[in-house]
Amino acid sequence: MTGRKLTNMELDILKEIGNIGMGNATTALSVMFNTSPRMEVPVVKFVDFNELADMVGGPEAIVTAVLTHFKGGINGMILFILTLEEAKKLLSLMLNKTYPDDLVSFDHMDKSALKETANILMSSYISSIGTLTNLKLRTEPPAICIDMAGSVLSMPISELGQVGDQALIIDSKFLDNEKSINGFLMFVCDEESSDKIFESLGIRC
Amino acid sequence: MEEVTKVGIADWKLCKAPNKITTIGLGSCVGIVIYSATSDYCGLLHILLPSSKDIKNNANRAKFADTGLEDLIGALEQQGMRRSTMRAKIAGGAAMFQFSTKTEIGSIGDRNIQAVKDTLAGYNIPIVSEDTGKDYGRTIVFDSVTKDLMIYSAGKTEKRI
Repeated sequence: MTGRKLTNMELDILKEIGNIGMGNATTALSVMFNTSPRMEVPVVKFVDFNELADMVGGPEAIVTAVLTHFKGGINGMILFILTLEEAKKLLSLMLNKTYPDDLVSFDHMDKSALKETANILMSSYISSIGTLTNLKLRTEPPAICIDMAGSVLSMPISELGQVGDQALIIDSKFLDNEKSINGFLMFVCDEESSDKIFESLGIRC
Repeated sequence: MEEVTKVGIADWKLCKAPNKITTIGLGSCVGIVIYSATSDYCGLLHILLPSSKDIKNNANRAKFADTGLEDLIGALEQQGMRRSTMRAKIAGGAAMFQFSTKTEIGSIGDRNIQAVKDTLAGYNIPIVSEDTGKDYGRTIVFDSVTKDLMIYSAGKTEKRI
């Protein structure tokens, strides 16, 4: 999905897929949160590798990232990234716990809650792509990593690096009544796969 | 006042004494420093992938171990550094995510390390020290005067190799 510019129409379609996926995810999450988080319209854009980490606080900022591969009609990976601050907000909402400001690591329960939240979001997104395109997609078990943003992102960047120098970012934002939580959903696939998405939707042949 | 040169992803730069050179947040990527006891110059390369030969889109030569090292070594030779005096220190190549299923890309760190070692061996450049593999990120800073490579990781004490 790199190496060339998408047309406005293609970007709109990805945005719309994002909206639908996020809508589904919100419903699922509202049950977990026991509240009703809203989501803003996602921002979809291409970002250069060296600027990716800046979106989440710079290459040395500690972030939590959950990564899942998806396979089927198209292959790629999807990541959900939160800064440490945003992860604490999300966890305190979910688990009713408080986290000290200087905390830089999470326990097993915290990690598993982050992984599950991310899994719901990512699976919803992937399944909405699957439904819209009629492609049979399945997600693999996710893995979590908490480290410097630059290091965490080296994994998707390596995969992307085989096809280009940019990543497609779907910037999502959840809003709760009192707290807003900012997260990044990063959708990564190769050119062949993105072509397939557009072909299946009938806008490119 | 000494300066610190920053090297980005898929990039290399040279640095001259008494300055330092750094790259931030190595994950599965590998950082390679080449220096010489008889030169004021050193260079740092931050590679992403093992080989330019496996991939169609290989215009950015600094992305790969093979072409990146070729260019870095060439640039150092242009500054008068003799190949036979070149030494290397390497860091990075971690497996950041632990998946329950093994994938080719999951082992990218290991493959990067191996490609860097093989390429350096091809140029007869010895690796003096390394801090590679495992499952955490590294920021590295090389001091062109002391030839020390400092390694900083989240929640760990710094290392000097």
